[in-house]
Amino acid sequence: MDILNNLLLGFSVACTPENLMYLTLGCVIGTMIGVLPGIGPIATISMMLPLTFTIGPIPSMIMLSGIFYGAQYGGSTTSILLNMPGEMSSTITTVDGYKMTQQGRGGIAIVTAGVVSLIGGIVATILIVVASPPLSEFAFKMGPAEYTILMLLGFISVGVLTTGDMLKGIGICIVGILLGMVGTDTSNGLERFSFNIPDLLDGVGVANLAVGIFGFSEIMKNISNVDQVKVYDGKLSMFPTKQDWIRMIPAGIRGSAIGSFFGLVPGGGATLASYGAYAVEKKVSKYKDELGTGAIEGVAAPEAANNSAAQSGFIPLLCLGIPENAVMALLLGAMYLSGIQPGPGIVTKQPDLFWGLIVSMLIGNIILVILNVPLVRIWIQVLKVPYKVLYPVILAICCMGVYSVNNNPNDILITALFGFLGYLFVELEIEPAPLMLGVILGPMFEEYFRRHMGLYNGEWSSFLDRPISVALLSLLGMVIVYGVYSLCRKKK
Amino acid sequence: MKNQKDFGSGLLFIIVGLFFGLASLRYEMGTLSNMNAGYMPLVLGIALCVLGLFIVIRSFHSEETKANINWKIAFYITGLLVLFVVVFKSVGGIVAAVLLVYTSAYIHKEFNFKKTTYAAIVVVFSVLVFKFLLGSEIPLWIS
Repeated sequence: MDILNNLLLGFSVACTPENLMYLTLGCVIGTMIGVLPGIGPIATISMMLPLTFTIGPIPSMIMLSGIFYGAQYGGSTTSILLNMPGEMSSTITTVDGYKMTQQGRGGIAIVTAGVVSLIGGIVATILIVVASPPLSEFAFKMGPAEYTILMLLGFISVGVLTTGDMLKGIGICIVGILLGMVGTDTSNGLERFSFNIPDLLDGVGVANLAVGIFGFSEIMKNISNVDQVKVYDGKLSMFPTKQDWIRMIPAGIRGSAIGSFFGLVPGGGATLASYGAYAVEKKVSKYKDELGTGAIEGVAAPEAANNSAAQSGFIPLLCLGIPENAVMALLLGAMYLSGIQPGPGIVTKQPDLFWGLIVSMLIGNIILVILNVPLVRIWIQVLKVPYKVLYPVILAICCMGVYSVNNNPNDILITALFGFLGYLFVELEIEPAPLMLGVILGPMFEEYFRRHMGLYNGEWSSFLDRPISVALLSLLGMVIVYGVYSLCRKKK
Repeated sequence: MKNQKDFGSGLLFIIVGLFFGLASLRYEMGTLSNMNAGYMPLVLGIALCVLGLFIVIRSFHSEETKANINWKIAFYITGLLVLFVVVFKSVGGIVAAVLLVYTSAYIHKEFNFKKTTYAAIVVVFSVLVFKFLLGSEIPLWIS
């Protein structure tokens, strides 16, 4: 059985002492940054990119992935205990999670989050195992036309599905695409928008963007807010009752299914998945009336969803070479740095990387459940550090990290500029996530669009000639229709 | 009856769209079937301007919303980061980092020198970690 052989290969790669060590390290770092406000997986992974040179492709991918889904786990802890989401994808967990804490059941909520995240991870893994080899082969049939529309789908989806204003979402995505054009043009080596500044020749820098827009801007925003974090000091019972178990499993499975789907959609991702799962619970769950008052489903569904979305996002990344969101894009960058070419055929060309990574994600989920449950008390202590002491440390470490990517101090200037802009975005209620998608997918989009138009001599109708292209176009049409529909509905 | 947040957003989009659109005029456009460097940025710049204009107009017909931009903090922190780079290049990483810690902590309402010193110690430690464990080429002290 092919799948069995592949999984065995995966285990043999993932279970070497070296890889297990990096996996654990990734999970711990991930959980920690998930718990800490103001620093997230995007910033951290950016700062650790240079490491991929030193430790090698497979261990670094395992570790960086561990950081990513570890952060999902960590984010839930603060959502539940402090009503403060450590990660965007855990925002909705605050609703029922914090209520559970107030009812003395905070520990149970955390255990729930851990267990259902494991379920989410398993469901996503099954999906990856089953879907990737055929998808990988299917991807060979995709040409420039299909890729162009797929990316356009991503841009529009992220604007439409974003939690904020749709028009602003699309606008900021376009800003991102334009920023992505700064630097040397991929196909003809022409430099654009670098204005004779040598530091801009390679582009603005994804790490600079990420740290600036997500890190520095958040610090600027939080300085003025008064420290009002009340850490829960009461008893933390950690053992769910039988009734709890019976209720969390179905919600977890539903959440996992939704999450796996959202992870695949361009522009989707963990945050959207968690909202979607909660919305479905409200309609479908036996206990829907309890949602909002501390129902365990309110924690189980979104947490399962965000974890499975995080992991299923690896499918388009590995099989098509297309990142669905900013974190995936960074991982793509890390792979290029290590000389790995994700995309069609990776399952056959680099089976040890592919299956090793998949299995390590499964093991990582288990490690995280084991880590988080007993370590909750330690994370609480970390959170007791007053913000006024924390943010200068984060600021300084981020500067060091940004410098370390290229050993160029001017990168920090670029990051500072984006920090300033990012702060403006926050106060103007512009969602920054589409910008990252634009920066990363923009150059690819332009490249494929150019190539296609070159092949078909500028004929617009050529997009309708190919079946896959037509299918994707209809999907795009549906998203646009949905977008316009929600715009009109909001106005009424 | 102005939605300040939307007005600001639209204005921002118009400025960025104009910036890239005008900048793209310095490059060759090419044709649709043979696009050159300036084509896409110009198209996108125009699209962004149009979108921004639409958002600005829309902001006049929305409910009153104020934008709470704390320019003082924004410029202060950004300025500190620039200072950091200057000090980093002239004196070295450790001094720059410590200076950043104290100056950035200073602006907080409840600034406490002693507690900030703990932060400074943690930061010095992490600079060393970056240099010696992660292989970053941080100049610790420039004489």
